[in-house]
Amino acid sequence: MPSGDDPATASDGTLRAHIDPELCVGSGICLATAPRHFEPTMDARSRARPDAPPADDRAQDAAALCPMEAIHFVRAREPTPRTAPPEARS
Amino acid sequence: MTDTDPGPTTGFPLPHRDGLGPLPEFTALRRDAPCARIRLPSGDPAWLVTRYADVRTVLGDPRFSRTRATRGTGPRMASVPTLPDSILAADPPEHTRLRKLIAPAFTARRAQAMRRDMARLVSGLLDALTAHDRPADLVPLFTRPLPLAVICDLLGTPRQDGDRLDAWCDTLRNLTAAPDAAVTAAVDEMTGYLAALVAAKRRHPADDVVSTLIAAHDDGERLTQEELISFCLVLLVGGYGTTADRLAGMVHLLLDEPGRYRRLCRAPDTIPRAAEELLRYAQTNVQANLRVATEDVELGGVTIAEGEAVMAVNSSANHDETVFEDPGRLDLDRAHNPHLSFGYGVHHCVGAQIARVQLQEALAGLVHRLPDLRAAAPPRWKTGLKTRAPRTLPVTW
Ligand code: HEM
Ligand code: SF4
Repeated sequence: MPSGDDPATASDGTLRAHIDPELCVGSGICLATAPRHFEPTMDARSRARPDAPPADDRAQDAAALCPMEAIHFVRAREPTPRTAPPEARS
Repeated sequence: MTDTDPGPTTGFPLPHRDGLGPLPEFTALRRDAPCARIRLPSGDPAWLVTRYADVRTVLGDPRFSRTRATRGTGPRMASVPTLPDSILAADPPEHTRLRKLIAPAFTARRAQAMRRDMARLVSGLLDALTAHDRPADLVPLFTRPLPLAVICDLLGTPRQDGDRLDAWCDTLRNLTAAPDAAVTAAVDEMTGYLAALVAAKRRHPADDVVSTLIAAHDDGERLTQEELISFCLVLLVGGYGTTADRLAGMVHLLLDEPGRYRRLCRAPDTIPRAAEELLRYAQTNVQANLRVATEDVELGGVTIAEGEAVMAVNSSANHDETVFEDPGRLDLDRAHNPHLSFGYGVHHCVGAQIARVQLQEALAGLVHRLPDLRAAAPPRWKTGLKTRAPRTLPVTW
């Protein structure tokens, strides 16, 4: 089955950020630059928030600042929910 | 007003101790008062934050602002303003605009591409060192000239101004050693020096970071002249002084217990991991750049009120017992090592990848060429600075 997160098979949809956990060194630059899009993981790295809004300029900025070039964008099939959790700020 | 009792004011700055081992004051604060009241050299109060999770919050959470600690009125480290136009004083989105200008030159990929050149620089310095009389001082012969050459080449500035840059860098990182007037004078002199350099570069642009910044300034509104000069200044101070001090400290820690150095000689492929542990272990920073809370924040059992200053010390976080197993042990094999020596959040060191490659190549060169390297006498230490580092490193081989 094609998956919404697979850039090869995704159809039209919103862009979503994705962090390659193999490349991320946990600098925290992305989550501090675009707090609504990224969050820390338990192992001191960062990842895209599961409830992130569609990628916007802030998310693109974070990708441009990542020293490991670990942030990529994929087309999601389903638009992600717009509501961020209460602790999310941007 | 808050209903939490901040307790008595903790002495600050901490009493100076030679060496880079864990400071007992930080250990006690992490245990008893993770957010402690201090008084800054300016006379303003601040919170000293020492636990890993709290330090990461202060550095990574947008509710803590560098801009409010450097511009306008509010609590200050010292009475002299320090570089209000620099990247280190900016908050997003302004910070993002500035950092995007240089980010492409500082990726891990670019740093790896510089590895060969750095190895060549190391090799040249070691040629000169091995021709030198023994004992020799590694600071002027190796730990200082290497980062100076690397940053000058990267920025596109002349290497021969090292001694002047060195004195300025120390004054800028001064905590108690120099009077405020000396700090202001150093900033003025360095600003003049850089303005002349920028003018020269403008006439002869090249493929370097200063030329990139000049182009951003000249192309339009992407960078003001003040931002341009401050940018160069922060890159020089960060890229040169910090790296030189760190490298000297690392070599000292390795030679202090000769088994450590011998281990790297036997297994040079473990140098990258060892370098990370040396970065973690060395409590180089005895203070940190201030942040100011933009709203009330609960942290470490206290309420930090809007407008209050916070100093989050990465070298204490790096010894947090809840994150690092047996943190007081320098374990060159340490596997889980999410240290904060390069900071965290938007201001995470832009030069971290370059510093890493440089430190790795420096250590690799030393163990390869000088397997018998040893301390000839104890180092003398810098005092009164925001960071601790050897002033001299007498060695023989
Ligand atoms: C081992 C060497 C180094 C260490 C330990 C180090 C450490 C740090 C730390 C802790 C910060 C964050 C400060 C804060 O958040 O208050 C920082 C920022 C910075 N560092 Fe480094 N640094 C090193 C080498 C370098 C090098 C080689 C360069 C330049 C080539 C550099 C340039 C900078 C700049 C420009 C910033 C400010 C970044 C920003 O505000 O976005 N550093 N560094
Ligand atoms: S900026 Fe890059 S390396 Fe840093 S935490 Fe984000 S994804 Fe990881």
